[in-house]
Amino acid sequence: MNYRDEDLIKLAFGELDETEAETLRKELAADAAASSQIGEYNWIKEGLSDLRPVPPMQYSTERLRDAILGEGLNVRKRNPLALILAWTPAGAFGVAAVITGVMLMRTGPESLVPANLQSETSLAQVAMQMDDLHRPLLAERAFRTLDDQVRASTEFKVGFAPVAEETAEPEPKDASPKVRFAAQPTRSAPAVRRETQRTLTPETPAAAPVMEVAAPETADAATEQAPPIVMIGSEDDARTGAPIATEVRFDANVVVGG
Amino acid sequence: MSTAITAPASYTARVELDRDSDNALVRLAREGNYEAFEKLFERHRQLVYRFAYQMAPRRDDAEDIVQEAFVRAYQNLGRYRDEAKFTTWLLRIVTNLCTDHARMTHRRQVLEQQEAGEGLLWMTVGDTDDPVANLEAQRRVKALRKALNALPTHHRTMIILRDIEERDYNDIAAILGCTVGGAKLRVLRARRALRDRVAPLIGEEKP
Repeated sequence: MNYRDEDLIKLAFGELDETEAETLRKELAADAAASSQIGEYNWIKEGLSDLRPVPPMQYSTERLRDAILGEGLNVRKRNPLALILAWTPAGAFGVAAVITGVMLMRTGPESLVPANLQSETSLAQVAMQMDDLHRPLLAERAFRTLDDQVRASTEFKVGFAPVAEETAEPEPKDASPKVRFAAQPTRSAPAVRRETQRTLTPETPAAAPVMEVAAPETADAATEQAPPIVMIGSEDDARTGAPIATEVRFDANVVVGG
Repeated sequence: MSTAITAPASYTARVELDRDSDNALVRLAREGNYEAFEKLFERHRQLVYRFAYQMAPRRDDAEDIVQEAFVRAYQNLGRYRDEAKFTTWLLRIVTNLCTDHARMTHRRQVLEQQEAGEGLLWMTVGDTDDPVANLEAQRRVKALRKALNALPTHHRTMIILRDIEERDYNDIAAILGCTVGGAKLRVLRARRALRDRVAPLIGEEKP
């Protein structure tokens, strides 16, 4: 019969009830292997009791007194202030984390970026709010980012469609090879063709030279030959009383909208 | 006519007993009464020393542990809570110190075992008149000491607390900071581990 090792250990070390121990002993009488195991545990138990005596201690009260009082040690009392100070940095960190989390949830990650480092759009908006359109450099800087070409092309597409109509003079095909539509880099060639045909006059031949013109690569290249643009500022001329008009050389400098 | 009010004798005895209890002495020691702490030391130093000696069977090491244990106890009296027994709290400190000591001296373990084996011959084991029985008892002690010292510290702690110091399971659970069931399980595993180490030696030692 296989007995649980746990029961054998408890029996050997006297941790079973009298009735349980008696029952187990009777059963073990017929089991040589289990009896042998019990014998081993009994041997250990008796041996451990022999380990109890220890040599006399030579450590004296005077030595302890020297160790404690000689070194000026004192009872450390629990200082609630120290406990508070110990937990203060953790608490502050937690509060900061919660505030940051709330800010992120409410306003998005842009709120964490300083205003002067935010996107070029907001810079341009600031410039427009200041009504400072006479500072083309600021607007130009606002558009010089990685994706300003796409933005600029979108802006020009909306703002300069009439200009494209004006420049669609019937010219020889090879006389104006560089007439470009800077505003439509994302349009496919057939779409450009259909739109151009709609905007041209009926006298214009169907095979307009525009069809052959490829979409420009960059906004700067597209605006090299664009007509000058006149911007009307908010300040009035002292003599005439009319708003001051300024001619801008390149249309990339102009902020459209607002 | 005035009547003297005297307290009953049993009440006086109880007050005296309370004044001399561990918790009362701890309270006095906290307030700066060093003599109260010396009383605690005198009362419990043998307990601490016995345990320390079983864990680190060299007198010098054991005495160092005793000193360190009482120094720590004195410094941390402010942290002692009265609901626990003072001896339990003290043994917890000693257990931690012995564990640290065992870690530090792990490399010297083989040498310590040899030294302890030879040093234990003085012990009063086998004090019967039968020289054969005495010799057998000495061999058993030597074998068990060797096996005990070779056990991992956590198993050794359990064997010493339960089978040598004969602490009850509630005490062991309080000292180790576990449940009573957990303490029983740990003792069981430690005994098994000891048997696995001792079993090959039992055949040699038995006549």
